[in-house]
This record gives sequence, structure tokens and C-alpha cells, in this order.
Amino acid sequence: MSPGLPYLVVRCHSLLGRLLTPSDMRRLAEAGDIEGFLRLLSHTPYGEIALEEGVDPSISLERALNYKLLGRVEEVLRAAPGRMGAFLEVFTLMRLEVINLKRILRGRFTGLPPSSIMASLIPMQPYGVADYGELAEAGDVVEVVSRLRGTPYEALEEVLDLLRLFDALWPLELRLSHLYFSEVSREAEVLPSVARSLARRLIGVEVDVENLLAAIKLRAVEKRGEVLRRIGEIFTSTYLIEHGLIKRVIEAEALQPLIRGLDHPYDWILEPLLEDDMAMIRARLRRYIRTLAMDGRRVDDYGMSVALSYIMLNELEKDDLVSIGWGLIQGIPMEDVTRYLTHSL
Amino acid sequence: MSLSGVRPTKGFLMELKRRIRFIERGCEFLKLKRDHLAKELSASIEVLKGRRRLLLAELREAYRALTAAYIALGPTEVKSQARSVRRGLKVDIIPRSVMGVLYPYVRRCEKPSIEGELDVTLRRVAEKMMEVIDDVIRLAEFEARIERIADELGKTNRKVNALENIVIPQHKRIIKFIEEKLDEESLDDLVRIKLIGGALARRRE
Repeated sequence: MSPGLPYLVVRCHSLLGRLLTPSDMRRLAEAGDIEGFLRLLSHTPYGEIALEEGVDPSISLERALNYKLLGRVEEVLRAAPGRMGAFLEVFTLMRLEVINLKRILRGRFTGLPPSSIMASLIPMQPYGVADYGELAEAGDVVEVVSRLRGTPYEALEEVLDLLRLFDALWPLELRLSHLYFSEVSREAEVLPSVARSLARRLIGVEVDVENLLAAIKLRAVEKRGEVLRRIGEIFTSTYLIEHGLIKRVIEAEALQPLIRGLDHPYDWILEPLLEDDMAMIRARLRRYIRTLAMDGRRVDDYGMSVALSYIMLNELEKDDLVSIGWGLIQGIPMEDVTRYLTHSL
Repeated sequence: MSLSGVRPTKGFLMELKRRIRFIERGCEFLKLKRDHLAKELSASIEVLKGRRRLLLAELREAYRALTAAYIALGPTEVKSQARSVRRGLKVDIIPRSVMGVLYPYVRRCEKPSIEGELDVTLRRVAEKMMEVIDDVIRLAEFEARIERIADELGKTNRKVNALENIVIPQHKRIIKFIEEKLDEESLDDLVRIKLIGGALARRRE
């Protein structure tokens, strides 16, 4: 155990107490309106949240909750010792930066004004790139990719011919997810074996589900033959789902037998696809990740896994709060919202 | 047409009789058109009710999927992905006609390219929304058609009523007036001829 790890573990244990309980979540979901929600939230460790004037309140709430998430992540990063800190930075900050880069690429793909692109980003300091503003102001997607030279994302250049071939952005978005997975897997080498395995599982299940969903999406593209021919180039990272299975998903006439035949947890996560409830796939993925994080913490309660669990649970909690807030702002019946939450209320 | 300006001549009477025959035939045609439009309208209203019910059900389903997508992905991500769709929906509006009634026909020229860009959750929502938009367009087109038919039915009905209750009776009154006037005149002529004939006979004696 490295000298700073006990402090990190103790710190994370104390921070875990800040997470909301299911009854807190239930009270928030039953707030009735967004004002009531913010009032109740102010009595929790999240404290006061003020929505920006002149901005869509649900976007403003998501931004505010992202700030809170980043603040919590920062606390963990400050307490993390040397190489563990470097790993946690990749695990958390690169994860959020990949989301921002996808939004920048989408914005440049359709020629959105840089101000609109910047407004859609998670409000964080850049992690692997120098400046988001500079990327948002690039002439087109190719220029964005060329400006990423010398960053952890420079491998995106290898995907530019796929971008031209399919005249679509998905190869770049998929590669960004793969780059994150490989970077986390590489950095996880510094972790003790239990935490390393948890980190790989947390990210691996996600990348596998992303790959399967991408394969399902690619069944509908015009150049399906090209996708199958270049499957190794497109799906550069996999965890437990191999290229053969991805290929079968793209080629299959019917998905039902394939999905039923998947190993656990993929069969359970993708099952809602058969009922045409795509959103439930994401909800189940999050629930599975939450279970992994909780189990990982139970197994390694005095190790690095506690930090990973805390970070993951924080992110899932933030997502649930964003969903509840959005539901209240839109006046959606709360039972329609809660069925997709990670917390079972 | 008032009686004051009427020329009580045989030529004008013949002209009026020809005109009233034409008006009565036109009125019959208008009645046929009115009945056809009324039939078309009542059948269309029944279809419209059914289509609206279906559309509402589809809309409910699409909104449920959209709500789920917002919850699953978050509002910022949904907006970001939605903005990555390059081509928008483009439509052409072409006029079509039923029994001479023009109504707009909407033809979809270009649909948004959602195949590759959106996450599967959002792609399914987009597909459902596209189906709903197609149905909304068809319904709007159908409603416009019904509206135009109803307008035309109103106009035709007013025309028939005006012909039946005003124009034709007026023409008939004028014809009757001219006929009476001509009868009177011919009676006058007859009396005058008789008187002249009597006077001439008396002179010859």
C-alpha cells in the first residue's frame, strides 16, 4: 500500500457519506416542481443551486450539477497519491473530456457557431487538450482532429478515412470511446489487482455495450459491407465481446436469438431492445455499473476500489438528479422518470 | 332584376326563357355538386376522426420514447446529438384538386440523415418522430382538403339557395309579367283591329 492510499481510502469513506440515500432521492423525485426540488437539494450536501437566467433551466441544472460533480472529483484527486492520482485523472477527467470532444466534433460537423458548441460542454478545465475554445473554432472536423496532434486523442487521425468513406461522424465518436478504454486499461496497470480488475470491468462493460449498440446502429447504414470488411479498424477496443460477435450482430437477420444468447450481463442489459425500449438499455447499463461499484467496494473496502466506487456512484447520482430535475421542469409524471433511474425508488 | 327596366318584348321574353332554362340546368348541376361535396365531407370527417385518434396514440408513444431518451442521455447530450444531424426535412407543396376544389398536397423531398449519427436510443425516437411528422403532414393535408371542401360546399349551397329562392323566381315573375303584358298588348291590338275593322266596314257601307 503506497503511503497516501490510506488517506485516500479514509477520505473516500467520509465522502461516501455525502451520497444521497434512496429516501433522499425519493423525496427529491416527489418535490412536485423544480423550485421544491432545488429547495430540498439545498438541504443535502449539494447545497444551494441557482439556475442561470435566460438559459434552458434543465441545461442550467445539468451544468450546475456537473460543477458539483467536478468539485467532488477534484477532492478525490487532491487526496490521491502520485500514480494513483494520475490513474484517477484518466479515469474521471478523460471520461468527461471525451464527452466534450464528441460534442465539439458534432458541432464542427454541422457547422454550429463556436459559442453554441462551448455552451454544450461540461464546464471543466481541459485535461488532455490545450483549449476547448480553439477546437470549437476549427474550420471543420478534419481541422479539429489535426489540432488534437500531440494529445491522447491523436489516434483519431487514423479514422479520418472512415469519416470520409461513411460521410458520418460515428467512426470518430466510437474511436474516442475506445481511446478512453485503452488509456484507462493502460493506466490501470499501476493499481492493485483488485482495483485494476474493478476499473477494467467498470469501463469494459460500458465499452462492450457501446460496441454492441454501435453494431446495432450500423445494421442500418448504407455501406454495411464496408463496415464488415473494416471491422477491426472500426472496433479497435473490446472487453468481453469479440469482433466475431459484433460481426454477427451487424449481419444477423433477427437480433432476438443473438441477444438471448449473449453472456450475462449483456443479455440482461440489451433485453429491452427486444421490447423496443432503447432508453432502458442505458438505464440497465448504469444499474449494472452501480452494482459493480457497490460490489467492488464491498470486496475491497480498504483499497483503491473505494475511490473508484465513489467516483462512479457520484456520476450515476448526478445523472439521476439531472433526470429528476428535467422531469420536474417538463412536468413529466414522475413514474415515467423513475423507471429509468439508476436508483430504484 | 326589377320590373321597371324590363322590356316587354317577345324577343326579350324568348331570351329570358332561354336564360331561365340555362339557370335551372346550372342549378341542377350545382345541386349535384352540393350533394357530392356533402357526401365527401361527411365521409372525410369520419376518416379524420379515426386518423386523429391514431395520430394521438402515435404522438403519445413518440413522446414517451423522447422522454425516456432525455432521461437516459440527459438534455445537453440530446441537444448535442440532435444538432449533429446534417440534413433537415424538406417538403414541396403542390396543389391538387377534387371536383374543382384546390387543396395542398405535401411531398417530402429530403429527410434528415439519422442512420449513422444518433445514438440508438435517440435514433429510435427520431424514427418514431419522423413517422409522426409524416402522419401530421398527411393529416394537415387531409384537414386542409376537408376545410376547402366545406368552404366550397358553403359557397355552392349559397349559390343554389340564391338561384332557387331569388334568381329563378325573379326570372319567372318577369316572364309572367312580360307574358301578361304581351297578352294585354295582343288583346289591345285585337280590340283595336276589331274597332278599325268595324270603322272600315261602316265606311264601305
